[in-house]
Amino acid sequence: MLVAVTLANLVVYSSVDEANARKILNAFVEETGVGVDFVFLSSGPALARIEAEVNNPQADVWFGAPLENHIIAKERGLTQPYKTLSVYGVSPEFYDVEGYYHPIYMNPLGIGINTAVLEQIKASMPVTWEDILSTSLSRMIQYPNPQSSGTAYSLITGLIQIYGEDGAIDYLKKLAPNIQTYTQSGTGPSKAVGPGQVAMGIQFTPAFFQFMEQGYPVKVVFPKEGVPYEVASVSILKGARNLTDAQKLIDWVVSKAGQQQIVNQQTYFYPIRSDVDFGSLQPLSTIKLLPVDPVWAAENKTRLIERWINEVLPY
Amino acid sequence: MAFRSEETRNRLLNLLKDPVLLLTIIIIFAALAIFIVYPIFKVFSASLIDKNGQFDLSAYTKAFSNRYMRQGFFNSLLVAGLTAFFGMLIGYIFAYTINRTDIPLKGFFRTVAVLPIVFPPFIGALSIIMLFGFNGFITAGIFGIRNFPVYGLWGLMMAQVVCFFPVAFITLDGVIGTISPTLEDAAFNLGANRWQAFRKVILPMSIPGIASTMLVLFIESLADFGNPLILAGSKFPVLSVQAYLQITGMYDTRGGAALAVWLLFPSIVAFIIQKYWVGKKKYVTVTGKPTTSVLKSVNRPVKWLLFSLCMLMAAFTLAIYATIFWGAFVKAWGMNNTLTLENFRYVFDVGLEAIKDTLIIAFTSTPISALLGMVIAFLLVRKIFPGRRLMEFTSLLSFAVPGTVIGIGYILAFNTKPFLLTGTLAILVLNFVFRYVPVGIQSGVALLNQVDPAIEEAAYTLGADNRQVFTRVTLPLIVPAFFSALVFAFVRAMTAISAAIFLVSARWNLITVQILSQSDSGRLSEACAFSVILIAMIMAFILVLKIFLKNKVSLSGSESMGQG
Repeated sequence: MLVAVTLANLVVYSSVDEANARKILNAFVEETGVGVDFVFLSSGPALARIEAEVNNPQADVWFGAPLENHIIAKERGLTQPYKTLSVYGVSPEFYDVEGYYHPIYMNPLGIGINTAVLEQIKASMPVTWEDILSTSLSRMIQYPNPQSSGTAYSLITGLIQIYGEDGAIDYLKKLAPNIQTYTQSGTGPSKAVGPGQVAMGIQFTPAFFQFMEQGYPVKVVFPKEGVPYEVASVSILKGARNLTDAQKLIDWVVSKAGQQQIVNQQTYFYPIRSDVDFGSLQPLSTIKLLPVDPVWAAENKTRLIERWINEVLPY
Repeated sequence: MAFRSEETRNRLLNLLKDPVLLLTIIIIFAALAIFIVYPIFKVFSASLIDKNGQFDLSAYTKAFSNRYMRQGFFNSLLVAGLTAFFGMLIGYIFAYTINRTDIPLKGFFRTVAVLPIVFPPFIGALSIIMLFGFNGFITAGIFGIRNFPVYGLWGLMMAQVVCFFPVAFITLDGVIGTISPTLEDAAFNLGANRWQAFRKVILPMSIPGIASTMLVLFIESLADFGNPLILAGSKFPVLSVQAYLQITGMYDTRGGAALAVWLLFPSIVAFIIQKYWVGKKKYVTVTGKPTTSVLKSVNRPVKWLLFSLCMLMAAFTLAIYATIFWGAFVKAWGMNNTLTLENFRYVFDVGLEAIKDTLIIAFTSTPISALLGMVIAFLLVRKIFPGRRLMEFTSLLSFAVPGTVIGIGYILAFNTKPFLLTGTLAILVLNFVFRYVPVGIQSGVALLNQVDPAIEEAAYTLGADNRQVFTRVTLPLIVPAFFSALVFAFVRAMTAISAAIFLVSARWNLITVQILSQSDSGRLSEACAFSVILIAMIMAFILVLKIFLKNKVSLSGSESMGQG
């Protein structure tokens, strides 16, 4: 199979889910004519694998996975910089000034609610984070374990922006009696919310929108105190064999044309540029975003997760 | 001592007289060293050596001192113990009922008892939630229970018992099926009642099978990853998932490797205990002497009690599959029951490549794995050579190591020269061959142990050489074991996920990885459709094999599997 490299397709490790990666990359192929091979790897396995393959990279680009993972990749010397001109007009918290990683799209974190179950247990639609502490939601909420999922870690760092560190831990402790289970994967809650095995799930929202589209009675609420968000990023791997096409992908995905495709292809992701047409998405201007310093978040991750395991989990 | 070394020397001399045998042994040792020991060694060394190349035990001390991880360790043992016991019990009830009573629907029970071998990863566990969750069909729908603890010990154990009891059934079916009913006749003639005949004849004779079954289930449960990922939840941590999360969630390969090494110990201890214990209780039951009798092992009430127990388990198993099929053919699982074929259209649109790749990989790896298993089994049982125990141990080792660790080990080991394999078809095939070879070995060993060596000795006496004995006598006798190994390896290759997720590449992808990514992005029905296709392909394979071999082969024939 090593011979196949001469075909020189761009090889992509995609941590964007299969279906959406296909949509976005197909749009890229159509607009630029570059050939692309990709494989889905969720962000953890992808990073583990890129690290193990560092002496002989099997891919050119790591596409998707939250920005924090790309910072780790940068620090561990797994990626290489490229400064794209497309970045003009993009808000600076979304990209790396040194050019190691670039934004693809963003996802706000939200509460996905199965309205049929909500009716069943006679609870009311929440508006704020405080609302879901209600005793009527006893054992009726799922969110992921921050140890395994970047999603849940975003929840913690986001809540810290609202309540401060001790306040956030305290909030999660108060939420604990309402938790049915902490799922192992970041998208676990939606799998129980969709088919009605739990009333609410807290995670990044695209999977909820996907359930809505398929006809599940699901609604999404962005609590008004504000929500954290993730920026799915893309990096060129060190030692990439197809550097030209890798750079073409970066140029395209950050550009206005690429960002418009994020909306047009019905990925349910949010574009990172404001100069595109948002279509049917709830306009970003109505959602309060809580920016978190990624460097601070990365430095405090082990400590905060240990606090969660010791102080929140036992309740 | 002098006597022993002289014996060893004689064995070596004997080996030198048989170059084919010697070469085979050397090649197998080399392959085991490269594809099983070396990757595991890489994981060990990753856990023991820090960034600067210094020896460092901190990954272990950290793992041992963490209360949460210790809890994970005990939970793993608890679930594994319970799964081993209940899985064995249910497997035994099925095997006994089918072999020792004249109940109706035997064919149906045989089929249902092997069905869960095809347990689609993740979706199987999700359907347990659909049955026992808040709006679960069984808990809420039938009993009106809303708070059944489906996340944690009970849900996980249920999933694992369903998932693994077929292994118990197949082994014990082989064991009980080969215990001649004439032995019970003898007991009855000596005045024993039915209970005494069972307790004093059948039960003791099936002890080795029970022991090895429990060992296999114990190890499978410890290493299981797909079920606990969905069902364990964070309040009931288990070690295989913790090791995976440490690597993939905390980006701590060293810590994850340390946890995995920790997980390895109970597996290996179980393995050694079983070897020592079962090794002392061997029964030769295929002797070439006539064995016909009339079934009269149980009375009528007991017969119908056993029948009801089997029926209950069968209904439960079928409910899980019905749930998956239902998900694949409706618009919204559990919420909108309009029938549709849309999910399958989507699967063939998006997943055709993965389906093709999965088949290519499975068809390449399974015959190699099964054949290798038979050769190793033959060497282990019938040949005496230095390092025999070592060969047995290493060849069974990959079975006891969690898939995640093997996966990480493979990319660490095979991403640099001289073994540059990452991104190729070969790495997936080799991984599957060596991961599933223990199944072939164990079924081969079990069968050979039951075949009286006198049959082969007779051939030697009549002037046959080593090769003739193997091809003309031994091989025909272990053909059933070969085919059950083939089917089992095929099924495992088709449903593998934990190691494979690290080894799939842009050019070689798998259906199981598709199931994971589809269900992650909220396309549960599509993931169900993928699972249905997976089940259909495996069933088709078994069916074709059955037709071609004129019904001589089945997963649940009288051949045994898993007994070591």
